[in-house]
Amino acid sequence: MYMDINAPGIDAPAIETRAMNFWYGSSQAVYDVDMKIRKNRVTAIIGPSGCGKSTALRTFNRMNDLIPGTRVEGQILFNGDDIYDSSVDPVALRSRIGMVFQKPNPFPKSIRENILWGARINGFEGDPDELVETSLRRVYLWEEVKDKLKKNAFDLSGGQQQRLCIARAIAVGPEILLMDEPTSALDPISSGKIEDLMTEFKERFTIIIVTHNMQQAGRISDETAFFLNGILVEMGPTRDLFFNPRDKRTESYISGRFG
Amino acid sequence: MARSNFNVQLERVRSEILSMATRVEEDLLKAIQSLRDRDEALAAWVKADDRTVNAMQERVQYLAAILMATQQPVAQDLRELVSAIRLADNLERMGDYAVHLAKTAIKMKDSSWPRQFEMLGEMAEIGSSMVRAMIDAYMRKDVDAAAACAGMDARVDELHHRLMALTMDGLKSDSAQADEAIKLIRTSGFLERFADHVTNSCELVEYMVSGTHAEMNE
Repeated sequence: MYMDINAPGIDAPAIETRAMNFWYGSSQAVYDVDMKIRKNRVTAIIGPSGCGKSTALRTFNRMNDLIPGTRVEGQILFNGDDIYDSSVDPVALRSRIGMVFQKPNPFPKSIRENILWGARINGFEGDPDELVETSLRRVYLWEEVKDKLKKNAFDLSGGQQQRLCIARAIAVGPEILLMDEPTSALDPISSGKIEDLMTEFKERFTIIIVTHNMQQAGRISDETAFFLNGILVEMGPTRDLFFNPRDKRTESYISGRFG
Repeated sequence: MARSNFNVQLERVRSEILSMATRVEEDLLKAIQSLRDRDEALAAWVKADDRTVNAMQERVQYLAAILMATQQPVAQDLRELVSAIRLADNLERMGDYAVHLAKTAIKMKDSSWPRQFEMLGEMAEIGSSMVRAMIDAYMRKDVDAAAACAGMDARVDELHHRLMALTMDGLKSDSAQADEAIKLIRTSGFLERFADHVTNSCELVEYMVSGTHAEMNE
């Protein structure tokens, strides 16, 4: 009756992990994760604190490389290619797999420079004005900031800063957007705007979001993965996972009866 | 245990559903007693009690809707609340059938159809047993017990068909009683529908537990 995770389309996933294991020093955080992330879908990763969901997310663009003592085993394929292959440049990879963090983290520069900085690093040679306007329009920030592009990004509200960070991430033309609790520091109106963006953006990008907010996962994601103690317990269409999960641990967690 | 407030509220919905089912079962038994005993006052009491059953339905549905709005239930919690809303609808209709039976008791207080009255009595008794078994299965989330309960519907169907055949035969020799015969057959039809609603409610137990729709009355 419902779409299955193995239905057509998953043959060419945006991201695929095979027996992915991850360690912080001697402490293992992720165990043998096999997952496939569909292209042009919103995939939510949920689970209690410390379950490995953010760690898993950060392996997808090798953000964990920046943390000393970490180690990954297994394969992480991006469009079929192993992102941990020695030939892969992590900086170039991150321009194709962008990231938005929990707290808005604009650069201490003007709104305009926040958009242009990453694009320039990645060799952007087009019209900067056009890139700034297009990127800001895509996050519905243009009308709010078009007369103050030279103002410091910190002058914006929290919700505006987060949309600016999303605009910055998409300005470099990524294929995937990783979002780590992108609305947890925002009020409901600002969160709602970002949720709307995700739904719009999936035509253009593949979106993977880590969220503590299960209602948010239910509202915006097409597929949901539930992590517990570093293990991927269950992954499938969001409507199935929230209506009739297969695993008792998933049921307990999403029903708020965990522990 | 986590979500203790939600659990308390969910238990309240269950308790209201249980009270409503018990009330409907009692109304049905009182209605059939009023028919057997030609007790017009008792029949009038059942008619008046319809307001109570309707109020109970509203109460269950209000509580369930508030829980959905404020607690965002998912998975089995959500299916249970959806089931509670649907079960309250079913019970309300069952209450209506008990009222129909009570009205028949008033209209037919001077009639003499002993064989048919006996069959109606048996149908009502099975109906009330089914309500009790259904609500027990619902409270215990016992799909097998719900299926066994739904199985009792066949006997009610059989009695309904026999009553119709018997009454039609009677009309052949005495067509002057056609009006009363129609009332009897309609009343039998109400009891047959009553059992169908219990069966539908048994199917809700399966839906609540497994998320699947079962057809328990082929």
